[in-house]
Amino acid sequence: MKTNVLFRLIAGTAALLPVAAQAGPTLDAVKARGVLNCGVSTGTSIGKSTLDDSGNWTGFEADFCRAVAAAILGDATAVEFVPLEFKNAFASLQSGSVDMLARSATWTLSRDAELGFEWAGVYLYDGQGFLVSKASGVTSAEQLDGASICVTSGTTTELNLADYFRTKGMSYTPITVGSPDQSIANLEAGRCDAYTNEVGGLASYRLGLSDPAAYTILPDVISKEPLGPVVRQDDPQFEDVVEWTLYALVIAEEFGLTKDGVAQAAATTQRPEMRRFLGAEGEFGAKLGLPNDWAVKVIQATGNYGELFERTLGSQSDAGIARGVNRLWSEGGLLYAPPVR
Amino acid sequence: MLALVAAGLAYLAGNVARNLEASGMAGGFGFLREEAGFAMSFSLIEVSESSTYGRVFLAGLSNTIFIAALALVSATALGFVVGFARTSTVAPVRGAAALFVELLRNLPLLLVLIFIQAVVLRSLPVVREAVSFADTVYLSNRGIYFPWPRDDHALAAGVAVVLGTGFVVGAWLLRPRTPILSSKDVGAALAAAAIGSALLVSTVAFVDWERPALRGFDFTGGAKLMPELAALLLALTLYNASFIAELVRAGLQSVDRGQVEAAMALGLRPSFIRRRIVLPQAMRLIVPPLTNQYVHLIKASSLATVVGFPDLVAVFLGTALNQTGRAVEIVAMTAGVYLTLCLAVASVSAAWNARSKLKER
Repeated sequence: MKTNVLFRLIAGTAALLPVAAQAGPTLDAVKARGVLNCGVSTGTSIGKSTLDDSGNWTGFEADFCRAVAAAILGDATAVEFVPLEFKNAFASLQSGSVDMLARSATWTLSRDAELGFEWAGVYLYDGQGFLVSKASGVTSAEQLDGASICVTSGTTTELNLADYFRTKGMSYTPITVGSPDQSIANLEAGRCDAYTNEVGGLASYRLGLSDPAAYTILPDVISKEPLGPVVRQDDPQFEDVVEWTLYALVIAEEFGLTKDGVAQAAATTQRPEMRRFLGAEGEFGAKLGLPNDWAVKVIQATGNYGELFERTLGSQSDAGIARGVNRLWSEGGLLYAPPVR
Repeated sequence: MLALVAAGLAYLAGNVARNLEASGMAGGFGFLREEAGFAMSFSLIEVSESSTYGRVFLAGLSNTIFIAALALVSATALGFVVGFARTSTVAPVRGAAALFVELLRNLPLLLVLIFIQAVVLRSLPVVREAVSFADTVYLSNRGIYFPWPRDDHALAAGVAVVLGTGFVVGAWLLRPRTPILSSKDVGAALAAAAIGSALLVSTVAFVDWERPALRGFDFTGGAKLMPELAALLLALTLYNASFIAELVRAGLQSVDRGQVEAAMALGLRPSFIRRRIVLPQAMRLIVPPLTNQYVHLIKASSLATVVGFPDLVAVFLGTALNQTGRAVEIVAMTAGVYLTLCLAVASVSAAWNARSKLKER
């Protein structure tokens, strides 16, 4: 009887192993499959990855997945969106059930070094802040001594929160739940006094409140939150593709290439650097294992970085977030791409 | 056979190690000594932002045992009450018990839990408008606040309460049961009752109680039962009690009616018949399936992660796993904990079963 149970246990474990052991070039797998499996939020992250009225994924991170699919497969619709709670996201990437994450994952040293992942750049430079109700009268994070703070479990925000209150010598009670919508519900019910997350996230979650105008984001930013696409480190070529998809968006803004104008620019431009970038000259796509017109497909899919940002998070969106440091380096921001050469 | 199993395990362990190395993931249990850097909203042991992952594990473990033990006791108590009510001779009592069982038994536990949290507890007033009971106990959607002995009095108060309760229970057990009383029996019982009540009364009177008071964002002072804990406890209790009630009913009804009728013919009181004739025989049938229910309850306590109570699964399998990425180690440790807890409950039940089974010669 006992051995019987043991045997079943072993059989069960063994069945799980090959999944965990799956390795090999992700890029080839994506090409063979014809679809990119992209890990996104559970649809709650307005402006980053959310479902619209007709069931389509929209938002900055959802569109970034489309850009990568466009680069590899030439088809921005060849994306299988996999909604993941944050606490399951890393395990899903490790096990191979998604090819990449575009899920507001903060790049940190220990995650980079220990999880077996690579951050293929930073697509949003964010920082952690607090969302409070205006009725509470709180105007600065320094007034939050003794407060209950809602936070999503397993995130860097949970750690930054602890650091901040420890540094300031203040006390707090963390109300830790698995998903941001639960935190928002807790904030709305008065279960906690503030909800902490990346400021960009707060701006969009605020829209999910029944009365967004009654809540405000405190001016304090307590951390650096570089958010970027995450890939497994077993396929450096795939990492390069994701990295250069991001660079392509930045370079496109730099060159003034837009979603609608890129096809014509590719056909007519005489600037050598633009010709190399758009595949009219040289074999730069092939060096990445991609078709030569990969950059054109990327820009046609989502527009350049500026268009993408403004449409999903910025002035043309409900969230209305200012670009801040998410601007080209030449305009005083942090976005900088290496040359295509 | 054993060698085969061992070889199989060794192969799997080696495979895991190779795969981890191939994917560039770090391994080992060294992370347990690293600083975790996050706080917990509730813990029985001292834990702070500078505690290690090892300590977080212990804190989560003690929270899991705490909630499971509380729910186990309350679900059993409620289950037996409802079970007896199901076999009551009074029709409305039977009906109410049947309604309780059929309603809760046929709803998913998760739904019960979310209902209690989202509807019942959320509808309580916000902290600034907390309901006050004689300015001593406060009720809000952040929990129930009640007075608690000041830190330096807490130990003495705890000892006094335990001793006092002990004496009172002792007095109850020593109570004279036969119509023929010897003064010695009565004296011992009375003395125990007197000492017990004196201890309890003096605890209330002399200990410095700290009352909760609203300061800033929240009540400070006193103690607080957080709503996440209350929701989980309530859900686990109600849901499991509905199953336990059915086990109790089945057990009670399995005892031949002839025995009850015989006892009644002898003029024994109904409560005596229930306690000393029916229940002991019914227990033999109740305990084995009751163990199953306990095992289910222990595992279901991991739903804490849904409501945000920091049990082992929420803080260790959740937060700690995400911060360290040590999936294999953390999942193995967590599985080990539940396996140990459930096997412990099962072996206690098996021992009880062996002791109480019919001795046939």
